Amino acid sequence: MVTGLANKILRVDLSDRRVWTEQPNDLFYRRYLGGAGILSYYLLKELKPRVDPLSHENVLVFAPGPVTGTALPGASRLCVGAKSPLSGGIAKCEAGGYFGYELKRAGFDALVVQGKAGHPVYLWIDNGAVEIKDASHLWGQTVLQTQDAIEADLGEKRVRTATIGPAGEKLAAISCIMTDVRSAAGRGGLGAVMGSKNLKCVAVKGKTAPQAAEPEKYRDLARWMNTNCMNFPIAARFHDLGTGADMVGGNAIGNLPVLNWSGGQFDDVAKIDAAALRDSYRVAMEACPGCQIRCKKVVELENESYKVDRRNGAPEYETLAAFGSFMGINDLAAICRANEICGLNSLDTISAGGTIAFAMECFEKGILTRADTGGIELRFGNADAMLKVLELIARREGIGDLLADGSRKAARRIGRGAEELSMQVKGIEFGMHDPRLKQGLGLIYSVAANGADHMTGMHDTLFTQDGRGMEAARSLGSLEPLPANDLSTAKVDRVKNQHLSRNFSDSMVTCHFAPWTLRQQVDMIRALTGWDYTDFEALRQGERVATMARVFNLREGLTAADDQLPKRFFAPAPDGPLKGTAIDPDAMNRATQTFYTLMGWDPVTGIPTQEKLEQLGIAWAAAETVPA
Amino acid sequence: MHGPLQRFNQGGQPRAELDLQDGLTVHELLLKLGMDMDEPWNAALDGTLAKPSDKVADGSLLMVFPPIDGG
Ligand code: SF4
Repeated sequence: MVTGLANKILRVDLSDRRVWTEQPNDLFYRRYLGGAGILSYYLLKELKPRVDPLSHENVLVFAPGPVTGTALPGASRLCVGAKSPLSGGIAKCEAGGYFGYELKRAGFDALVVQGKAGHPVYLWIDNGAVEIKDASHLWGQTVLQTQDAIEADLGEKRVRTATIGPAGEKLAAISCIMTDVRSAAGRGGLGAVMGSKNLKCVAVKGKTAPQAAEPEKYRDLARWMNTNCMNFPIAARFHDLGTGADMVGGNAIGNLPVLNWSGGQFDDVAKIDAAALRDSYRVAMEACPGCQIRCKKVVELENESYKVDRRNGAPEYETLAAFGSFMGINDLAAICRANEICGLNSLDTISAGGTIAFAMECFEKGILTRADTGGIELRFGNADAMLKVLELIARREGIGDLLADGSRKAARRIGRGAEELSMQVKGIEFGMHDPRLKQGLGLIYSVAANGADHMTGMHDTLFTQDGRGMEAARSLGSLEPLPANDLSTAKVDRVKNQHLSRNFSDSMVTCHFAPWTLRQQVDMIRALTGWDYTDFEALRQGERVATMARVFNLREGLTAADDQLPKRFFAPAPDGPLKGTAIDPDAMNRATQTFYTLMGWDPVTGIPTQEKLEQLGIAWAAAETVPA
Repeated sequence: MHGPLQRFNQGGQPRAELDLQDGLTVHELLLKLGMDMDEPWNAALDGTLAKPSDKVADGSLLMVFPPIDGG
């Protein structure tokens, strides 16, 4: 038994309505820790290779971290994963809200769901008791309607939920899972996996707080963050404005994506950033459990052409950019409404935004016409058209059916040069940060197992000059500032170490916006469990998680050829702050091979070596590394 | 100057016009404004990401703001 953990994994097979628990040993927890670690373990161990991600054979894992459920700021999140219907590889992402926090307090370190129910169901986890309940009456309901209906059904208030809306039910590969209505496990099509299992919702209540081995030390850590977080400029900035605070600056240096990455700069950026939101529709800031940063915006629109209910949250930076500059849209009310449509229907705002921007560029170039769009003038800048198409995607009707599985699949179906305009890696649309500016992030966009995701990558502009900003790099052995577009071995080493650090944090499932250092996270584990955990183990954990994800993808048939950015980034940017800037393909190839080498993977194929797998204690995964 | 860095700009002004000596670098200019160089920052000098050692020419526009990452 490990102190501070639940020491129990909840297993559910929906096909035969079986519920049971497993009690892994201490070594399991020390090796896989939680979150992304436990999730990767179950996906590799329990999923047969090459299964259809939308079949009963896929496995869906909800994994809080070891510290989730305790009173630490920034420790309430959970990691969700499965085989991705969008990429065919691993889908793994983190979500906020109270769901993970209460799942842990209900007595579980993870929930592993397999099989497929014969009709729509939801799971009700009430402090350790588990029921599979009928959800036929909820099928077709939005996420918010489902929340209300389940609370009414159960006669309970403040039930925490992980839910899909109609897009997940209709197996849209760009659908997500919404936690507590307004947070999202966004990337990779997890909503469709849940829909394919006829699982509408997981509802949970948990009341038992984990007890730390060294409670006073644990409380000290929480006190430290609560006392000091506002001394960190980025946390203070998020407290005031939330994400999207500095889009004007990002636009000035070319980080902000414009017109499906074909444009340079967005003149109306100040109309769509977090300050504009504060001055217009923002009505509150909210927090995850125990976090004083309170960075979650809430908007409400009334008496506007678009109405938005405050219970559906507000757009984060990625959404402001995806439905704003990325489509040339400067209508903040429409962006708020797009965010609401995505939330209610469980669509990933990044992939939905990326896919509509792709379709807009196809329309501008005549590859799609009004005949394809059902008469919609799907041009850049047309907010009404964007909202119409978004609704069609959620219902899989008309052009929406074509776009509901992401830009890669749509491009393959459209042909006629559309593939050149599909901006994704491994089928996953890009986070809203330009890899021509942040070229180290571009490397991670290329090689990360979960595609062009901005969260496991290093953002180069944090480390371009000396000062406190360099601390996170220095603590990982990278001492000097480096230019944002540098792809030297020193940069690749920094990128790799930051990637490991983030994969460790994803095993802790701590919030990237709460300024916890790696050392403090190690101290959390020590105080929680009583283990003599070290920074070295933490980075090794990050390496294990990244390598397991790599092995999973190889097994599913992905290869080094999938570690490739779209061609557009290798041609000079036409306009704006990055005008004339291109990623040098030779430099990126060298960087990719260097990354593989530093990870202990074959420099050409990217297959982890046997020695590396043995070193990480996952030699059992060796048989999985050779693609069939 | 944007965000929390605005407080370093002449009593918290969002923008200011400065008469500068020739050959001043971005780093020297920010020091002159009294900025705490320990704070994370990025700058755009005439529309591109600036290095601390870049020279600020007559008529240049310098924007300074906190770096942006996830979200
Ligand atoms: S920083 Fe924001 S997202 Fe992170 S835990 Fe705090 S309130 Fe939640």
